[in-house]
Amino acid sequence: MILLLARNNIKQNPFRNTLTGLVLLLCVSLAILGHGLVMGIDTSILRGYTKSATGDFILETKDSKPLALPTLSQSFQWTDRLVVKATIIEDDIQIPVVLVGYNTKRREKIFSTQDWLTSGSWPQQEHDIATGYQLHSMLSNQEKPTIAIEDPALGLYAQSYTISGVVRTNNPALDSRSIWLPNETLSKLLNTQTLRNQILFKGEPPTSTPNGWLLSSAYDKAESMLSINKVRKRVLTSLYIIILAMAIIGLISTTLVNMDERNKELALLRSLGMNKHSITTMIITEQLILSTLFVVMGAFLSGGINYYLSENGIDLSSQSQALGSISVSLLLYTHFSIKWILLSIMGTIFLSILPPLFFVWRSSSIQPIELFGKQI
Amino acid sequence: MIINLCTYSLKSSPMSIVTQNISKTYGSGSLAVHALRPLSLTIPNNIFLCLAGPSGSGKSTLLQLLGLLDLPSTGSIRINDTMVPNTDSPIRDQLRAQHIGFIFQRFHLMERLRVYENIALSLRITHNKTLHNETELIQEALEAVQLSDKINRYPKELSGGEQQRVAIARAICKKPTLLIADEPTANLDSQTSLHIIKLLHKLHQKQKMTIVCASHDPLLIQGATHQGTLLDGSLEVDL
Ligand SMILES: Nc1ncnc2c1ncn2[C@@H]1O[C@H](COP(=O)(O)OP(=O)(O)O)[C@@H](O)[C@H]1O
Ligand SMILES: [Mg+2]
Repeated sequence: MILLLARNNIKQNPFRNTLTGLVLLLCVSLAILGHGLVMGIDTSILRGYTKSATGDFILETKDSKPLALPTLSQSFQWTDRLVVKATIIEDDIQIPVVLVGYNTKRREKIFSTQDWLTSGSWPQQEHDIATGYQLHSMLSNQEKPTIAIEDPALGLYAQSYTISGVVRTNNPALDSRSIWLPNETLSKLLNTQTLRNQILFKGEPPTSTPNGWLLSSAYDKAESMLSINKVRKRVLTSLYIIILAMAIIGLISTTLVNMDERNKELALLRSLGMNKHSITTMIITEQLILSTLFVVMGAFLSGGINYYLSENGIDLSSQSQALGSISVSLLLYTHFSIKWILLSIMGTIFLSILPPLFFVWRSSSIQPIELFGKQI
Repeated sequence: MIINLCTYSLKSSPMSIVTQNISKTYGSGSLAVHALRPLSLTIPNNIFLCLAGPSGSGKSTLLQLLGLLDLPSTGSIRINDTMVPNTDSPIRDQLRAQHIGFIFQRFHLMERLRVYENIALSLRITHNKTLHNETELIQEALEAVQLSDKINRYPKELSGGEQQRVAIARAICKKPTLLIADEPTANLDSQTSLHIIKLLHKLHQKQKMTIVCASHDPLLIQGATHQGTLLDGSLEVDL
């Protein structure tokens, strides 16, 4: 009998039921994808950083003061990269930058450039440099920036360069601060072949840190960036909660409207002698079938998307470039959690059951004739 | 007011429905509408009572109370020997399912169920299960309303008169103690009305149905064994 009535209901108003179903689908998808995004923010930063980072390990001098190159044991794999902190001097403004020097012959091997976007060309002439694209937008009205390395002990070395190319790595730290240049160019600026304040390399971590140097992994570096991320995460979380609350209100009101239209049907059933218990069972069964169908569908869909994004990430920066103005550099990964997906499924189904329960309670506490309204 | 419609001795005629001082008042205070004044009415088996009276006189109110679709403001109702509880109780649902067949002015069929399923629904609610002889009962009811050939149609494929006959079949399939019809022909043209009226008479005469109906239709009123007139919530019966 319940199946007979469920069929009647679904056929009675396919539009109404589809709408409720879609709201359910939306709700569960929002819950799953939103959670994936919010929880994925940290992962995005970490993975974005380590993927396009400057090396597995970083040796840095204390206080960033350049030192003579330490002697490193054989187990270190020199990456042919030199990193030095410097400043771009532009009239009154000084922009702190990171100079990334590299071995021109091995550039493709040192960096995972296949994921990078470069416009223009990598430095070819003696005074050529390439800049990170966010840095480039800050320098946009300066053709030949002057780069200076300032240190009380070493004096000031400054030199003007020509920007030959713009590099986009999707590592926010690099894109906003890096200057790319061949090792030879950098060495000339440093005025010495041996002074460095940062050395990057791949391979096993060193057993002992040379005197005067600090060792950290790229992962540690990325983690220190997470603190900057905290605000962004908080905003996103609030946004997620607001949207989810709106979706839940939408879900409840749609289900409630869906139910309200069924007063006449319930009036008839009760006038035929159906009791509250059977009516409750009927309504809840119908709602469960509808909910389960759409919620599981939605969960599969959004869970699938979530899983894909958690594995591959999505490059929002190329999207934003297509849009033109806003230059957001973000390689987005989502966080995939089966637990949360199951929780979302159960939560949405539970929420979708509440309005019918309320409705049945209300409609069965009045007499059948009142349910008919004025239309006997 | 006490009205006893038993024309035979009390013992030989089992009473189907007895009301004691039932009344219905809508609203309260100065806005109160006394839709039905206290009425004690005995309706024995196999009677055909037709209520006339102007619109707003309380016909529907009385039928709804008899059909257990609403609670009386005062008084009580007995069906056969069972007191109907005056509180919201599942016993009322059960009594309604077993004893009352209600025919509405607007038919109230389930649009998306076939004729067969509409009637089956009533049977399944009454018996709380699917009877093994469900099909025979449905066919029997449809034969009584001469619609055996439309068993697999949907309501919207039927004319108004045919829909009302399906509604009658739905009401009689469970063999109720009392068949109630509230202006069953008001939504139909005169030709179709005549068909329904004849059908009700036939159900009364051949199947010994107990029928209480409300109508303005002279043909329906004349054919009934008893006529009643409601005026401002008070019933007068011609015996
Ligand atoms: N639900 C209700 N609320 C308030 N008044 C009602 C309600 N139903 C009926 N009435 C009033 O009760 C009176 C009797 O109505 P009703 O039984 O429908 O009369 P009839 O069926 O003879 O036209 C009318 O005055 C009507 O306005
Ligand atoms: Mg009426």
